[in-house]
Amino acid sequence: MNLTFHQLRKDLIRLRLPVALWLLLILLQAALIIPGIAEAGEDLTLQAITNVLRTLVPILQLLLPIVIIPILIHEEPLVGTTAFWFTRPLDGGTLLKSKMLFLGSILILPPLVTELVILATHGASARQLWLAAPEIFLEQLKFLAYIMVLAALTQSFARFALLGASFFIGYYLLILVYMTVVWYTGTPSFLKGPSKPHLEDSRYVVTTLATLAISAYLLIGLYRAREARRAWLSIGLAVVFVSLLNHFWSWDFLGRSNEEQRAAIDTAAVNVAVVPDPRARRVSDELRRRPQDNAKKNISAPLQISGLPAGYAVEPRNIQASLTFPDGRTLEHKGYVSNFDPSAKLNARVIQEILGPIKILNAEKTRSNMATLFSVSDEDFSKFATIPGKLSAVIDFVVKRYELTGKIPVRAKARYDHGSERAVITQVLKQTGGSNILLRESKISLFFDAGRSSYGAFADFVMRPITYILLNDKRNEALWPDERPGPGFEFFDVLFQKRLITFPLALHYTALTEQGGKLTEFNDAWLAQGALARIETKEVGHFTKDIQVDDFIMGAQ
Amino acid sequence: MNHVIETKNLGKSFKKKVAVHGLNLAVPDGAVYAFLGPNGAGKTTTIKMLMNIVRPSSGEASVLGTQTTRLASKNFAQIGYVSENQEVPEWMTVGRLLSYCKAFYPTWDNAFCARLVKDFQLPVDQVLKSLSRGMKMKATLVSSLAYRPRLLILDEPFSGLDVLVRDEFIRGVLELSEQEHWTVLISSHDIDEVERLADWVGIMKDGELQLSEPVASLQARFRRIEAAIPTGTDVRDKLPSSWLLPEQAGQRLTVVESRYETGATENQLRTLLPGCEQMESSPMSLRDIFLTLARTYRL
Repeated sequence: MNLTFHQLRKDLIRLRLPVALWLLLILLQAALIIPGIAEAGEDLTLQAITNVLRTLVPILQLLLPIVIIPILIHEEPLVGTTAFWFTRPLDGGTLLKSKMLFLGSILILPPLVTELVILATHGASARQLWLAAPEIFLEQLKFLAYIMVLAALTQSFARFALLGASFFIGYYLLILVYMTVVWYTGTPSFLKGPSKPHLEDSRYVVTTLATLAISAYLLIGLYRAREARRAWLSIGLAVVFVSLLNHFWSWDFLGRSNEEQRAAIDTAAVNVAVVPDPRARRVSDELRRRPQDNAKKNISAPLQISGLPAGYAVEPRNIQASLTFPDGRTLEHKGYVSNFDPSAKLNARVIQEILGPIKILNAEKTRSNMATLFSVSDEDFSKFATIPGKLSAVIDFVVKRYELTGKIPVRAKARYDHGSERAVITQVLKQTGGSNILLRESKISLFFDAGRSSYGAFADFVMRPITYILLNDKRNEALWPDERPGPGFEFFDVLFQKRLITFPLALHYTALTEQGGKLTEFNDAWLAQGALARIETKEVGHFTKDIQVDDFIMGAQ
Repeated sequence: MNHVIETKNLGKSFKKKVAVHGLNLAVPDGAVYAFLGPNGAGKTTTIKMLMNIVRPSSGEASVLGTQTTRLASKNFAQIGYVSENQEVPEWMTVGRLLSYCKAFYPTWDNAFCARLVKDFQLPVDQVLKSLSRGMKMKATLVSSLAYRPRLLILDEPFSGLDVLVRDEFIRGVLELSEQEHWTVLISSHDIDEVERLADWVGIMKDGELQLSEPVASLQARFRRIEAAIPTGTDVRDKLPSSWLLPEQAGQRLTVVESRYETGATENQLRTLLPGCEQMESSPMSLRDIFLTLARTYRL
């Protein structure tokens, strides 16, 4: 063990400058994030300056290990015949232990602890910290393992860089070739199968663990026997193995799938029907990926949904439909109900239900229930567009529950705190007949958290199922927001900041109609009594419904 | 006789190129063994196999009684290795290199190390990168001697060194090997470098060992013979194969006998060339023997 620490000490002396820079960057990262969102959010000029650092620091944090690890490994290279240590009483096991100690104590532990501290200062609970630790650890270790194996197979930094660049370019060329082949000849039959996004997280964990195990095997082998040729062969086999594992793994051990979850409402009472008026149909050309693809048309129609309990909404997701014509011909369709309008993310009707007597004055923006029921070829469309047919469809719906989770008084620095979810009003800007409220939200999204969306933190951000209604309890009035990204920094980057998400919002509320008419007397007194009602939605299950339309006409484009 | 290094049919090929073939080498305990041969003869490859830096393609070798493919830390603690190709950690100062190496060797002798540093006039505070090639070699040599290794392997240690440094180096190794009774294997393509050092010699050519024996025995059996022969005598086809490089200039014949025996060689010459007189035999330096062999076998 003494020799291990002796070696570690030597490496620390050798790499003292890049290590000092690395630790400085970690401190800087903490210094940029820990002081608090609200405080930083108030000073937009300061944010402009710190934004540069917020971009630079993560890039340097990514690059430094790519410099440090090759130097560390090449101090005692494993390939070639000229290394100093080959003829010294220093065995590979001791060397590997010292390198792993370096890796753990310098490149893994400090960023891990720092991020946990950052998360803790942003309200992460002990359970969340417990969940965050393995996520950060695995992520960091996987990244370092790639670099370490590559460095172990090279003799100098120049070769490492060349090999790394070759791998990087080769990987993307391979993807390009694969995509081109799939594009023109279709997916190979053995790779075909339904898309399973809920499995992606389990596959990520499995392939990460497999990658780490293979890397450990390669490194132990290299440090023991220095047989690079065997290592290269193993890498080739490992790439194939991990790719197959990623494709065929089918156990969702993280429980991301909620397809089987029964909706927590009486779904028998829910009625779904297609609006019968053919004039309500919408016919649109489907995007063609290649000129030689058959032209298709998407037939959409609004759905009438009733029988839902208060505070609940449903949205169609997938459809399996058939349209049978009097001559016996049947058209089939199966797909995602993609025409569902994402621009209005929340249903004003449901929000009105949970607000009770408080009336939303400008609730014209509500979620449309337009759904794509069919996709037909242009040829079939021209033949059957005006002929009534019998439509049978099975539609998969997702149930969403709406909840009023908190109220924030309308004044600067007022905040909503709920565990690791926070929102703080940074500025309230008054204007004629309304107000602009700048607000900053932050939340912690953890990979191993059972409640995380199967689409990851990115989905949490993009499909943010939260809105803020400006309401006045005393007057029983409320305003629906026009929501846009606000000024200032945001931490959301799939590369560097995956767990702590914070972003600014600009919420515009107006009590004026487009023609300038007043919906209410909106003034300072109204605003002083006002509060932002935070409305959150959560998926609570799925159910399917059969619908039948006897005289379904596709309609005209 | 105990052999510190022993190989049996050792071979190494790189793809289709045979670097070493069927090598049977034995270096006796306590010997200073000059491992000679032209560039590309296979000396460095042999040494790398002995140090387990490269794996043999065939045969086997042992160093200090251990099979080379199983050499471990405890074996390397008794071996000093200095090579012109070795990459030293150039960012270290001489002092740091020595204190770094010290931790690996239980037998490290601080006083001895200090003496070597002084004798070699090494600047302990300077980083190796800033030192001349000769100084770097000396620093590496000190780091390979301070623990009093049983076996010292020097692979072309003099390449690129100026005459003065080379002389100091040779003197240092010579003195120490005598004092410490070390076994030294020193490879070189230049006989001048090792003539003063060696008591054993081995000559490699095209991956094969041409000769391996004590210098004393070699010098005893190699003699330059000069004789006056009758005018018109044609010596071609008359001399045995052990008589090398015959040169005839008028009545003067010069030849190198590689199996010299006092009296017997002279009698043999008289029998082969009746009438020859003024026969003289003179001992040869190792360098002259090497050159004779090099010319004869085109080493």
